[in-house]
Amino acid sequence: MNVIIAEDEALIRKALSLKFQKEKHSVISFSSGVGVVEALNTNEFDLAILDVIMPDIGARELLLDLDKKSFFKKKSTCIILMSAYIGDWGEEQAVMQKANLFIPKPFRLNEFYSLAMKAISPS
Amino acid sequence: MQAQSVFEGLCQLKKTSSLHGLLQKYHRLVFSASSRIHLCEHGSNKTLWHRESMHFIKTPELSEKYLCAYLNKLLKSDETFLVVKERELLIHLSGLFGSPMINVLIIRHKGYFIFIENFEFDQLVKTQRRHFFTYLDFFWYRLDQILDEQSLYESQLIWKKIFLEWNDPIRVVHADGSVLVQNFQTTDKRTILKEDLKTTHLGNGEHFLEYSEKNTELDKLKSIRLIKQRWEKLGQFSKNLVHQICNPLMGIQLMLDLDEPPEKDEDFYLIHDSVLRCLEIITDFHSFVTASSTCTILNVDKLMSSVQRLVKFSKRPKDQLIWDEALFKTVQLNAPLGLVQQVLFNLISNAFESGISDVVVSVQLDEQKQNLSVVDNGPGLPAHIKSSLFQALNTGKKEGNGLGLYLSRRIMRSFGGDLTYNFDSQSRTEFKINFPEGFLK
Repeated sequence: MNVIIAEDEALIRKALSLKFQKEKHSVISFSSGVGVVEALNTNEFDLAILDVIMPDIGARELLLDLDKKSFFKKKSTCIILMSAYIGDWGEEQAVMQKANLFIPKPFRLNEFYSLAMKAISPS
Repeated sequence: MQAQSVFEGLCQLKKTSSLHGLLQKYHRLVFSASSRIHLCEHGSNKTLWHRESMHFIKTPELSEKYLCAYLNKLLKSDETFLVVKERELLIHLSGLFGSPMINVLIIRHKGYFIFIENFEFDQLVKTQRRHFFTYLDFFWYRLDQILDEQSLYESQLIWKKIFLEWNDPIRVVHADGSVLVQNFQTTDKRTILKEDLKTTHLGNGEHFLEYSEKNTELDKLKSIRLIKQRWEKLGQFSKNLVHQICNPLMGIQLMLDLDEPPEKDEDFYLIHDSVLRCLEIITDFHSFVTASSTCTILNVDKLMSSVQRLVKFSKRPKDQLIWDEALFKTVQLNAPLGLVQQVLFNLISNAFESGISDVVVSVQLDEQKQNLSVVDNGPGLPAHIKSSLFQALNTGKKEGNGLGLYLSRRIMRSFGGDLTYNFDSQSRTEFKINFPEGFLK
């Protein structure tokens, strides 16, 4: 499975990358939203894990940009948003912006992994 | 007198071609020394208290420009009227103290035109302009506050509410320098001695007299506004702080998660547990300061654990927060978590800060009532606190700001619940946090 991670906090990015790699998935990661839209459009990813608040471009802007470029009509990448800013942003808004799942921070690594797997193949 | 809209009023003006004609038929409004607007019979000082004579019209229906042009055409040149823009009343009025009477006053505020006929200042206002301005400030503040309460929009209840709360006494200065203070609504009268008065000279031989009175309505409202502003800033700051701390801490926790389970390494688990505990505290604090109105489902035992962590700093080591953990695990709360946490935190920390050692939280669930009850083993509230328990700035604590219970009730009512006090209980303090149907099951 191909996974793309956009997260500005280095340790969270590294831990998520290592976890997915440990589970035999291929991972590419970004420390901000810059370049993520292009990467998603030009490559095939099964899962995108995006932080809602990042320097330069956050997940909200990324999703709007992807929608404008008809990404959701062309590809079936499962998109998971995560944020510590619960209250301002939640599942409802995430789904409205065509994300598959919203996971509030903090979370445990194994818990995150199993939620991500369920989101990819709900059955 | 029948309530009428601005348009109806203008039609009347057109028919009579003169404002005086209208005033013969209707009554006149007097803006009194205490800034209380009330209605008098024309040519008499008898107050009729017909407060419904002020009307609202939404901006789109009546443009300011149109109104100006219409009234300019309609009214004779010797009759004064003014149309003011948003919150410009003070500026306009300051130039008008020489005029004995303004026939029509139209205030534009928050999309409403407020139309007041035959607006008049009496002699006392003219000599006590500073006092008058202070009350105009209060007037705007109240108007802002009340217009913010959506349910009152479209309703003349807005005015009624202002007047009911506008009960500051009228002051009459006597020749001996003492002041008679009379409250119009309660007919309460008392005299303030000259020694207790502070004189401020305004120039031109005029002076303004004031006396200090603790906790006047105006002072209260100003204090609430200041405290609210500080809380809002503190909340915003805390929210950002929590976000900044949460991310690196979570990074450490995830890295530790990655290596779990390592070789039997005691230090690893000590670090891991500490990080998890920090994150738990930060999460509670985040939900507390965010006070989001989004509903969250969780069991009440978890809610109580989070409140326990939040009140930790308010309680002494021997103080206990008690609840039935097994029972609470079976009860689900589906409510705005941060808001409920705030209410519980206020009630419980109030009790601990008052020197009470045991606070018991219990749950009541039946068809009619779904509530959490917060009971302590203290001596009960003193009578003077009970009488105005949920009013702002009412506190029994030395350093309390008197907003805890006031805000807690407002919070509960914001989503259809309520906060009540059990007045039947003589020997202990019992508050009930009542939830709307389906919020607690």
